[in-house]
Amino acid sequence: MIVDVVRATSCAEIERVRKLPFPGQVLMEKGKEVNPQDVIAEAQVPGKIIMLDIAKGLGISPDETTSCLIREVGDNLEEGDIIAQYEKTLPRIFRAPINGKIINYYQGQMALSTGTIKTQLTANMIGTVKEIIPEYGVVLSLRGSVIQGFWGNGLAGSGILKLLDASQDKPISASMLRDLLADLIIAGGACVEGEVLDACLENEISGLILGSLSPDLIQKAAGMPFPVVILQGFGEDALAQDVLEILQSHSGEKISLNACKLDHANDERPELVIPNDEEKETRELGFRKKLELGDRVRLMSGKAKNQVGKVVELIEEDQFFENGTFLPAALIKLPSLEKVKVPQSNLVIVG
Amino acid sequence: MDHQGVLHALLGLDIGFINTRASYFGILEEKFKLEAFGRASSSLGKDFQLGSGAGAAMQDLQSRSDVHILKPNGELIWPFYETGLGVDHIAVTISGGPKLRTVLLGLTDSGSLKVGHALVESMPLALVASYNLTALSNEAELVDALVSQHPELVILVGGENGGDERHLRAWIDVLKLVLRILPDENKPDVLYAGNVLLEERVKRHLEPLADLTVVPNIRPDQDEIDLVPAQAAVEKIVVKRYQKSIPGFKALITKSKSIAGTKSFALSRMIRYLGRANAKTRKGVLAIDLSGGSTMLGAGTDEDSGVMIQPAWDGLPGSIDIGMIDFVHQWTAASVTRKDMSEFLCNHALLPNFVPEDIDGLAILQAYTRYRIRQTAHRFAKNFSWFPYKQKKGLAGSFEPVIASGSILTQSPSDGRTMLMLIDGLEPWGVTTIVLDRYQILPMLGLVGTQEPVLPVQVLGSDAFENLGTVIVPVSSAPEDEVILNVKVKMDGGKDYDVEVLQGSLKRLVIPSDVTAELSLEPMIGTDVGFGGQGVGGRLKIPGGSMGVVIDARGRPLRLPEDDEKRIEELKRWQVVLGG
Repeated sequence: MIVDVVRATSCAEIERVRKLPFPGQVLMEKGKEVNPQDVIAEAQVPGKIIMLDIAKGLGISPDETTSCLIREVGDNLEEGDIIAQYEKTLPRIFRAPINGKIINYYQGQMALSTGTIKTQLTANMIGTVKEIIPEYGVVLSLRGSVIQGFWGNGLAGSGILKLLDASQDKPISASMLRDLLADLIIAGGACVEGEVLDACLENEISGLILGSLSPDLIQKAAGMPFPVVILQGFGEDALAQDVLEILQSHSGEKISLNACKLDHANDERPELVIPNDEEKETRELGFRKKLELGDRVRLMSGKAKNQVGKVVELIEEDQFFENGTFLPAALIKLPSLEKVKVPQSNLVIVG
Repeated sequence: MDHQGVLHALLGLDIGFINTRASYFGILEEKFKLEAFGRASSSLGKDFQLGSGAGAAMQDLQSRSDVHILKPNGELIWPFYETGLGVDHIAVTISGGPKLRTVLLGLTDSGSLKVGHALVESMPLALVASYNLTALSNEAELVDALVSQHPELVILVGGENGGDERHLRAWIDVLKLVLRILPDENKPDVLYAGNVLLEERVKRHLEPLADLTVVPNIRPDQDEIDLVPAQAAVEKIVVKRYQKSIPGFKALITKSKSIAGTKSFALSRMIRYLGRANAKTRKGVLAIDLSGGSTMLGAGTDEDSGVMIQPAWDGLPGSIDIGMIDFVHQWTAASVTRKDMSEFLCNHALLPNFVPEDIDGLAILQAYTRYRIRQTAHRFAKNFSWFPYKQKKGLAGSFEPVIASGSILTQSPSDGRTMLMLIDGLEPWGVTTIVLDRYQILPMLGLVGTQEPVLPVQVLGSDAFENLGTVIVPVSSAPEDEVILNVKVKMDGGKDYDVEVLQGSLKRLVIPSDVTAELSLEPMIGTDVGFGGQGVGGRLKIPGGSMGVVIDARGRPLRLPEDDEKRIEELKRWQVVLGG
């Protein structure tokens, strides 16, 4: 069975491809260090179109207008340039009302592009430009810790990581967020009160990492002006132990958050990265992977939900579960050495 | 297929968002039959080749049967050998690919755009914007918006054939501008399905700028709608784009004389065929597929047909609809809070292939399935006015059979629960038969039928489809517990018996699968059993099925007790009546 892969590792060689939707200009050089908000490439297409009624302006029929044109599609114009000229009994001229580029002409009507629509691509992570993809973007790389999640509010940013003291025991309360320095990225367990998000806003934090979020706060979190990443899902779950350990070891360090939306079609997951140079490196596993013996997995259901264990058996026959269903299952060995049976679909590989 | 073009064996591959299914159709006793079936995870995504999931599904098929279609190295044996190895053809249906970003341009919301929406919702398309003619009042803004939306497909509809051309001309000019602006790499496909008088103009202006397809008007006049040519064109565009965007798709469909199409259009073909084949019975046919990624509903009569796809998670987890939460809570046969339910559903939406292993989770999911069915039926009725579904009434028209598929149904712990999800979701009236398409082959038959018309006909008549049971719905305004219907049951080779049906009750009559029974329905005055009015009865000859006959006298619309404890008790009692 192919299942989702979620990264939670203290050291990896992270590579992310960032590409424009259409060709443009790459603004970075190979080897350059970037921050999440840096614009790395941009593309421009003609925009702010105005329609010029040449026929009406010259007082002639649309059919006659074509022979009066002095400029053609593709020409750049400056304000006052003559576009068309009628030279018969009562000569008249038609001038460009504004700077622009002719992008279309038909039946006496001319389309003039007077501006551009700019598409900018930001880095969305701390890293180094490893490779340039001509006209489109870059490959960014970073050696460090990476932790991926399940939900993001679409923003990216960076800051200094602060792990809240009570991140394991109980949900975050607004009182834990008093007297914080601005520009911190706060990490904590469960967020179940709207006041917590209000306090984050007041403190002008740079980002929020949560183990879980109450579903009734999804809309509010989506509207926060800083990146919010949910690592485990919706509910009242504290940070998983493996994630907590990575965050604890990097509290006080600079991290970056890419709270992109989970996108199964484009294999994108929200994530945080922390630059470091630890030696033990794990390999990239991709967005989804075939479940195999020995895989490190997070359990998404059952009594050991959110724990990380190891696949010790992929059971051949479909297994019976308490609700009466028969499902393909795996046997997972937990850190406590207890073995639990879980539907294979409810496992995500942690790499 | 041999040198004379005779088909011996065909492999169907259905690539869904979560699973890829392989089905092998061979000839047994001179008739095509589904001989074997296999399933594996779909290998969709940048890290995979589509063929690896298909290969795993074929391996699974081979391991569960005597069918031999793969060489030891995993390659497909092609063509078919007289010894019985391999296949002649592969047919591929796909529903798991990314939806194409689509912009719809038309004239009025209630006219051409309404039909345009029905077209978009019947195919794997994601509508990013829809514009009526009022948008033409600010051309500059409109052009900027269209460029910024990066559409992969632009559909231009509008105008009855022979009608006014002015506004469509304006749309053509705008589209021409947009196509000139967009870089070559990002030019969308353009589909024109409007006023026939403008076809030449469309071709002259847009063909040099984009891949253009011109099809007959989807709304040639006020009373006529024909989506089929446009659907066929969209299917070609989708398949063409998938060949570029889905790793391994091109390789899969270009070998072994493959035919490929979208699951929704294949289902649409099958529905049209079945609707017409049912003409004598004056009943329509309905198919509902509840897969992990989407809900697909197709319905047809001898005159009309339609298909619709809805996302399985409908906005979750981003927006939680309170009405949805209330509905799902009401139909959950377990004591769970609304909060627990929201958490469960939002988390499930993040991990679409999740399956509940506990009782509460399954109860929530089965309640959500009822919601999916009702929402899709409601939206289908909005797109297709002939479809007789109303939210506060149910499915009042006569549709038989109802063909159901999807893992939530086939993985259900009992057929009774599957039956209940379907009855509670659709709220049918009159008499219908529920058929389970356990192997999800109905759309595949629609695609295969384009090459081998006899195959679907013969497979439909085989045991590949499982008759779950017959549902009889007497509707009456009589008080609770009053007799509203008498049923006389005459079984083949068994003893006869009579059944009294009380208002508000749910009953099951056991009719084993290998037996047929004759039912005589005698409704009380004021009771409608779908035989032509209140008090009108009749006889039915019905085949047996795992659920036999279910008599649903719970009323329309279905109502549940307000009190949580009584409500859960009632829901569980209904489960028990249908076998647990």
